[in-house]
Amino acid sequence: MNLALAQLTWRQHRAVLITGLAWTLLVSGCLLAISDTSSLAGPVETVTIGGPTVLTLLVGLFLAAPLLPREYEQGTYVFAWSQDVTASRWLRLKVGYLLSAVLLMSVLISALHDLRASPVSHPFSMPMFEGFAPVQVAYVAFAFALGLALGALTRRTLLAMGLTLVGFLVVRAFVAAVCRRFYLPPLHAANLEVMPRDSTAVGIQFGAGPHGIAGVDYQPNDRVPSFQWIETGLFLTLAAGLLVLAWWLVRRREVR
Amino acid sequence: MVEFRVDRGGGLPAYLQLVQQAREALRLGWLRPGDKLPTVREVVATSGVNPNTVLKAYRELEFAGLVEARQGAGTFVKAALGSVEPEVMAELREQLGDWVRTARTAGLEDEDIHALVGVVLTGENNNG
Amino acid sequence: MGDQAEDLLAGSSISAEDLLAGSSTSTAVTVERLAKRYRGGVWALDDCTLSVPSGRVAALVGMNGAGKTTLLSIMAGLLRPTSGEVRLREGGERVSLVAQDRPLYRSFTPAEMLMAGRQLNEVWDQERAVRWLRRFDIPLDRPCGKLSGGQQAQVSFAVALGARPSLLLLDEPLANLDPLARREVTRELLAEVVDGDMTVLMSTHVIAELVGVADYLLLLARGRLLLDGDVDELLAAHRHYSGPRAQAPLLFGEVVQAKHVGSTSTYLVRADPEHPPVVEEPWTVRPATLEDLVVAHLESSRAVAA
Repeated sequence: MNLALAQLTWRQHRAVLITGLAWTLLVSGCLLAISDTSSLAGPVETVTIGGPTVLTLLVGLFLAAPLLPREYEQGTYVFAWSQDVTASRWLRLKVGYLLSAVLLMSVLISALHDLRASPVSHPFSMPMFEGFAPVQVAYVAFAFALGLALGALTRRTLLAMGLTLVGFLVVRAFVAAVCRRFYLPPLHAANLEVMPRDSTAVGIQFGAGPHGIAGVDYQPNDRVPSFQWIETGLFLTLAAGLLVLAWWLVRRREVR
Repeated sequence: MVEFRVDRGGGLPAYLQLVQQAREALRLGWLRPGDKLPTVREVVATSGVNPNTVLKAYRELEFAGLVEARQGAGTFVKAALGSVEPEVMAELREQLGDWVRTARTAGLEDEDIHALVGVVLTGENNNG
Repeated sequence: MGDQAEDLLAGSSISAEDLLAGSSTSTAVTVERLAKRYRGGVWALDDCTLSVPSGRVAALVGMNGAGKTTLLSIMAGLLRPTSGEVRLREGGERVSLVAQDRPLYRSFTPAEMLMAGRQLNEVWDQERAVRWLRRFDIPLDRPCGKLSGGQQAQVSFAVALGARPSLLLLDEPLANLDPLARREVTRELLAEVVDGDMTVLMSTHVIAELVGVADYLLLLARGRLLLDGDVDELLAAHRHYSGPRAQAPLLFGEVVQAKHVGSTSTYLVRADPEHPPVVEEPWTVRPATLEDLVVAHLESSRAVAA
């Protein structure tokens, strides 16, 4: 007996895994092909910019979200979970293999992306901030866990896919727009003139002062790496929580 | 050799049906002393009868002294049944055939015939 | 008794323990005070207590909605009961379930289904599973979704047998098989019972098909056990007594059902098979079929419940 469930997992998900791998290779090839200063408009550049995000959505929508609903909809959970392997072990093994596979793909794409992408002026927003490889890998883990948990909750493939898409975009946008600026308490300056050059304003108080500004909250740009690690940690934590939720939902049904 | 079958509509327990079929085979000379009965596996595989039922029937036949089990060899017929001459048997059978045809013409169905035979046999036994 | 059993078994591949299991008290599975309530408040099982003796081919009989599928699902570990418990034989029981709708991965070929079975089980008998598929001429390389209902059933049987179960649960195993295949499947399943030390519990509502196949009966009605026992013993204990109408009900045994048609009354009576009631003319006795006694018990339980 070789790796438990490896062959079954591959057989069940090979279509998405092959697609993911093909995409990974295509994006990697494009990233290696682009010159440093090529324009942002060409097809090769479009592929490289969208590369990580497409992989993330593929993983969330087409791999993780249908994983449980398909078993429920076709009734095959009755088969899969009445054998020697318990339902929770079945889930742990499958998640282990699939997550490892997609994280490897993500690491490859993101690392190359990180190395090859040119820096953009605004360090706290796309694509500069999120181009950091660990952040991208954490997004993939989050998308996978979100799809899996929504599949376990809804037991409907299409519903789970739709909710995963919406959920992923909303959480990402919310974090980027609202949370990210406050990962660490911002520093304060009296006005924009005295704010250090190499920093980003995250809040302005209007009132009595030059140009009607009473104070400025800002984050020094040298905090960006810390913030990127914090965001990585945040999404990995969310992913872990969702994986536990999915596991608990499946485990709950087990009798022996 | 005897091929067992179970009448799924009958009220007779399946093992008794097998016993009856074996006895019939003995009576009609299809099975003779020294013949080997099919193994449980064979009966199950050919006639789809429950193995426990076959075992029960064989045990019943053994208690009746009709067959014996030989260690490692199988189950063998020990005694013959019925002392009626074959010609007499054939004639009786023919007469019964005639009677059954008459009964069918009169509109009796198999179940009616069984019931009638049962009643007459019971009556004869009680009188005797 | 033991010696005789062993002698009888000479030449067959069954062991003496299998035979003795038939009469011993060893049980493959026992459920105690089992209850299952589905969302919406329906009680599929209600205080259900029963046990299946090991080595038997037991029939789980009941009308639709009697709780058969629920009971099998709980035994297979797929469903958590609302209350009560399931106890498998000491030392563990390998349980396989062939569910009623024969769930298969539609895109998998039968060969890939066997691969799935092998991956999902610690014990796997590939040869036994393949043998079953070959016996029924199932193509190994066509997607299961493109097989007929009967062929899909055969794939389910093959996977279930490949797991070498000691307790095989079959939910309506003969449904969607044609009559010829039913006979063959029954025969081959029973042959597998002889070959592998296995207890079978099969649900059905076609009672006629059980005669000679099942040797133990469990009759469910409204989520509860109504009647159980060795089929032969039940048949021996039940008889029809017919006589003139308006005579006093018979005073022996337990009258399961009384029917009055025209000038005749018929009673289905359960009595000690060793000492069956003796009746005088004009009363007549005839044996009851399995179907007779199942129907009579179901009807009388319904009358009590109403």
